[in-house]
Amino acid sequence: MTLLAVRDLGVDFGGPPIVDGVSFSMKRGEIVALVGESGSGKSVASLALMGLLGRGNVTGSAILRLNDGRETDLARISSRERRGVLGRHVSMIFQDPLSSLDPIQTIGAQMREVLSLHCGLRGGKAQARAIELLHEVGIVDPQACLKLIPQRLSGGMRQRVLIAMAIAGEPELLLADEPTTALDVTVQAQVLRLLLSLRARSGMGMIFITHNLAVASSIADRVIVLYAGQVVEDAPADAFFAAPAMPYSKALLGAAPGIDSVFGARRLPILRGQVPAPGERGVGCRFAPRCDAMRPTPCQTQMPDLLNIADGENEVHAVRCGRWEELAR
Amino acid sequence: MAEGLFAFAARRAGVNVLLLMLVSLTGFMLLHATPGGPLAQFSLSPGMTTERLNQIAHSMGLDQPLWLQYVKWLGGLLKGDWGHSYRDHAPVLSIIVAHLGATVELGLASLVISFLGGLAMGLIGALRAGEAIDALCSLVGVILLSLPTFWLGLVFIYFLSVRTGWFPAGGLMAPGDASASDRLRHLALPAMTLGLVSIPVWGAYVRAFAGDTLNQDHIRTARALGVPGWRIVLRRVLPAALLPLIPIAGVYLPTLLSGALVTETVFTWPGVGRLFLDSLQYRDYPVALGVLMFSAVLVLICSLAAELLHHAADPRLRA
Ligand SMILES: Nc1ncnc2c1ncn2[C@@H]1O[C@H](COP(=O)(O)OP(=O)(O)OP(=O)(O)O)[C@@H](O)[C@H]1O
Ligand code: SF4
Ligand SMILES: [Mg+2]
Repeated sequence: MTLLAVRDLGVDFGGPPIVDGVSFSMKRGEIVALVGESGSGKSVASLALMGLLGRGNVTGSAILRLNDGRETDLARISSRERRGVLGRHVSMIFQDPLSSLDPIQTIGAQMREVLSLHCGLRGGKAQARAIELLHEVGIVDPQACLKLIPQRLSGGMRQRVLIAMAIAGEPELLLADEPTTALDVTVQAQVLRLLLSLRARSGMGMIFITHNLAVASSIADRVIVLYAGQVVEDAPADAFFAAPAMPYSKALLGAAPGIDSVFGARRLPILRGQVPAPGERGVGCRFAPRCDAMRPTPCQTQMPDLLNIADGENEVHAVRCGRWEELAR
Repeated sequence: MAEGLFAFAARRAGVNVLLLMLVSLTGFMLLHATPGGPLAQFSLSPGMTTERLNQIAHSMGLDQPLWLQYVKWLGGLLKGDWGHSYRDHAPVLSIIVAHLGATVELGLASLVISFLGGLAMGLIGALRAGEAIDALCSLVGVILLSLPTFWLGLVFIYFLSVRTGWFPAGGLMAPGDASASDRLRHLALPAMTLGLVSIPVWGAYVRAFAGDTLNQDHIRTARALGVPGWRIVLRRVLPAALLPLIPIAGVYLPTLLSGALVTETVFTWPGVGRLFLDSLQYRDYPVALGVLMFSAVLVLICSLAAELLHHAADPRLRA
């Protein structure tokens, strides 16, 4: 059952495209990790999926299939439709849990706002539900928490509050843009466990953006690697961590030993060189300047397509590399 | 928390007393340093003799040492005896209070105009940042800011009073007419004059504070959670923009007392600004000094009140 089908998603802000022909799909309840170096376009892509960028900046489509069978194109959503979808069918949590909450309203006021918008709950009922939600995300004393302003909470508690607000409308899809990056390691692991348990309970799908391959390996069902605005590998997590096919993925994993068991804070390893800026991309493979397996042809002359190399009929393991077959031998 | 607030208030009160001492000393010294000194008013009268002048000086205690005069004057201030006008011998404090009503009336009316205008202008600019309407707002702001108050007042008087007769050209009320509508008609032009020129000041603050807030992450979070735009403006942007305006208002409010000087003159509005100007003209030093001290006290009271209010209104400061 497909939850989200993204086709040819592109974003530009008047200049060269930041996100370029991104296509992937995900199933209900699936957790997809979107990984890539800084500047690869992860945040921009996720904002486009939320309909939070101007419609003139976004091309392509992102069809979300709702629980009731209706379909809506997140890339082309009108601002009126968007209000009916955001918070209710799609929610998002962000990296910095301090600045993501209104500093001058209490947690209670901010939660009641969302509950009245999406669940029609007011007064005592909203209060009760808010307590229930905070309890669900592991806040020990929800009643006291509701009376506080964000400043009084720790980073981990703030992120829990934001998660509670994001799941209040029982969304089918949660986008999480580096939700644990600002937290210390133990808290990071707690929040990841919380997200996994929420998925198990409610079956919501999740797009989890991260720099951190250890985090990706501990939470994801699929891994999608973004490089210079393009998807360069899209694989089931097992296959990705066991046998990545794209040289960029290999380089990432090769430089990050022992990632699969750690709930650790290891960030994406440093590779030589940098992601080319949107205006400085050649005609060929965008990874070519940094690739050890690069050959002038085809690498510098032709942009490789994103090919599905999976054996099974219904499986997807897509790779964007002109030499993947040679390299696999 | 209550203790923190108390300590804060006490500390501020201490600083304020020092400031008041400084203002009073400077004012007193300036007065005695002016050519002619406090007696200038009397020495100008025709047929005045040195003998008579000395008599007056003696009766007013002006022949005593300066420091003693200052201490006596200061003691009087504390007891509520602010001296007597040279012109009609009325107590200074009651003269000031008699002029205060008109100034407060004009000040508040102009504040409502400038604040609401500035709020609208600032919010529009922030919400439509970079668009044509934002540029238009800034342009209108610059124009309003560059208008000389007296010129604007004269333009209003010419077009809305002399030419059309819609509004009276000056004064507090028509003689013998105590109706509210008459007072409002008299208030309209001076309040508009004083209000309009202050709109861009509030507008710039609101534009900056609202713009800052709109760029914050929590606005994006609210949008990502489907909170409608008008609600975001009402519940998040507006309160965040208003809070830092409280201390600014505390500084701004007392300046209306003296800042209305030009407007009060153009519209012959019998307020404290006019009183100050007149008392200087007549060399009525006790009144001039009184107004000076009165504004100083007001400045301190307003800024202290504003800070206390800010503390009470902003939950982040109630740690
Ligand atoms: N509003 C915008 N206007 C113009 N360029 C933008 C805008 N937002 C982002 N960009 C550019 O898009 C590129 C991708 O940014 P994005 O934030 O999506 O990267 P990211 O993969 O999320 O990186 P990070 O891991 O650092 O968060 C960057 O080069 C950035 O400068
Ligand atoms: S296409 Fe060439 S340069 Fe690009 S990843 Fe494959 S081998 Fe490297
Ligand atoms: Mg990002």
